Amino acid sequence: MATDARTTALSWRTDSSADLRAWIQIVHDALVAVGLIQTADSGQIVISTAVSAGSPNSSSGYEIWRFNDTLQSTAPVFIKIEYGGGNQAGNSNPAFWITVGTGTNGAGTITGTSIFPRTQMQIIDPTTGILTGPTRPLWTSGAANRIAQLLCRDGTTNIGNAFWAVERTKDAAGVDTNEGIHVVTRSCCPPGSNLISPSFWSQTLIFSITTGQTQATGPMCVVSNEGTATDAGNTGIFPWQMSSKRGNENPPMNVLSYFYGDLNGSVDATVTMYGAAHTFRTLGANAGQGNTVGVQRAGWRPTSTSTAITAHDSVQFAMRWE
Amino acid sequence: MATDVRVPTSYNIESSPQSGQWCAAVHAALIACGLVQTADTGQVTPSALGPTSTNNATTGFLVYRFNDTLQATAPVFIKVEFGAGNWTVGASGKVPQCWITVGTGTNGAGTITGVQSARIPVQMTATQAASTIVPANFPIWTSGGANRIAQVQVRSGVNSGGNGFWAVERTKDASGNDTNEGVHIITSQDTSGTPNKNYQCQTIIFAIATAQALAAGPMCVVNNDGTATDAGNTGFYPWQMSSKRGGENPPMNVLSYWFGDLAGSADVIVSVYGVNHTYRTLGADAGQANTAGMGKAGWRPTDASVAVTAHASVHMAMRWE
Repeated sequence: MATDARTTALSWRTDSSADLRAWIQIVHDALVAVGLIQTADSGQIVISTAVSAGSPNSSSGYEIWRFNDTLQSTAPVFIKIEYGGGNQAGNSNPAFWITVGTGTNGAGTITGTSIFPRTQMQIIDPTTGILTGPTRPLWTSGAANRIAQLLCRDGTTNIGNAFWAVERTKDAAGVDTNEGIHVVTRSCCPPGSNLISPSFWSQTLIFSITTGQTQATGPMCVVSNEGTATDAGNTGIFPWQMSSKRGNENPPMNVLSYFYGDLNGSVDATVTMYGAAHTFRTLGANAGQGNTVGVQRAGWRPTSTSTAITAHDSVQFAMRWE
Repeated sequence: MATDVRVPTSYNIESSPQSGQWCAAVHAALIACGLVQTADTGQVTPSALGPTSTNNATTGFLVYRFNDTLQATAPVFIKVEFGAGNWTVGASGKVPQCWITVGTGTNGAGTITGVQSARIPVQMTATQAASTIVPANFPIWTSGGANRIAQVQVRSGVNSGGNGFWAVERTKDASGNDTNEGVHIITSQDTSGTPNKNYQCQTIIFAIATAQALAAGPMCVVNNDGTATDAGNTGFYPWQMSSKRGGENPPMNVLSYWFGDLAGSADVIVSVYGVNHTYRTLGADAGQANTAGMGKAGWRPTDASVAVTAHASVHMAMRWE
């Protein structure tokens, strides 16, 4: 298990090849540092020569990664990451896409009958198109059997904080199974859009199910209607209720939700999951900020007897940090 | 553990003795399934419950308690009030309504005391006036034990109305055993004559003395597949109840499932906390639309926008054993 925090010396933008290469490089280095293995697929991006794609929502190249645990030989997991630009004018904002499956064709195409579809995450700055790297770090946590990564961390705005995480399904004791994977992603704006509207996409893929597994577009978490969760000096958290085409699954361990106001963002907290203590890093608003910044809208809060609810700004998000 | 199916002679809350016939049936079912009536003063004689035609008016109450070993140290009391809802069918015709209040004590005269829930209405709306309902088509289903209770009144798998539901059980540990820490309360009612199920839930932790908020919606998120089947099995969704202290272990009184995977009014075996239990599906019966029965029992994330709707195709099952 490892954590990794690093920054780009340049900016989180894509229209400059130097900037583009710099942020791709730190993403790459962080994935290596926490335990993922890059495959030998042909056609992978050469970071040192990567160039801006020059048009909105376009990729400049890809890398293929895999888990490195004992289950990889019998229940393989491969992750394709495409690096490029988003929908902001001038192709200035970074975007990346992940695709997750059980194999590759050796040339950069994810294969298998259970595939998390190519999903875009963006980092966007509607004002200047420039997100200064040193003040917006890259946070990565992972191991041979899991990965969680936050790009352009910002607890003072909601324009960064692109997140993705992959881990294996769990048994009732929280132990990895060979049955499938949980994938959770979050972007500051929907795919192909530059409107600030933080959104989650997630999916639990079961390897033995070969048809009709659908991505869920929203946080897989219902919280209380309290607006807070504290008792006897402890802070309450909310595991995610991931489900697959076979029904409910045991909760993932890469992510949790919590109430804004109970914890500041950028804090490492010890949380008991499946009966064991684990460290999570809060991704919500930093101290002194409003609840609409950071990684908010990470849960549904039933506040009305009407038939629609809104993913609530006050429900913030934490990533495993160990 | 017990189940009870009974048909009241009438659901008519506007006339006597019919109003008492409804109350008597509810009371008998609760007793049959393991609740114990307290000696609180002021309780109505069930068969003598008076009528009313006034919106949201009660005409009597009953007080019950659990009867398990934890009752001595972590008591649970349930006040059930009987009356008329605010829904009127046609020119006249009120529908029956209960109000449920759960707490850790009573004052001996019918007032719930201690750490307690909200007073939660459970309206038994139907598409016809209660005075004209044929009870045989709308039974009362009750399942309980000394430590839990779940009841649906005016049950219908072919109708968009009816199906007033309430359930109370103790909080659970990670193995599904009762704890002395609190109770889960789940209710559902129609607040209009349309198929518009509204769930209200609350988990009360006894050690928290300050107000604990009611959640207005189902505490369940389902997948976006529209179905949950694999290798001949049907998938279910436990409810993600939470309290003021955070996420709780799931309750056992209810589950959700997909319309299309199972017809309503079916008894199925479900493994919960690693043990098989029987549940009765409360959704639309075979051949009915997904808007009949108890739908909207879960949030289905279908859109990257920031609002979702409790989905009509997500139905509820109650523990049935």
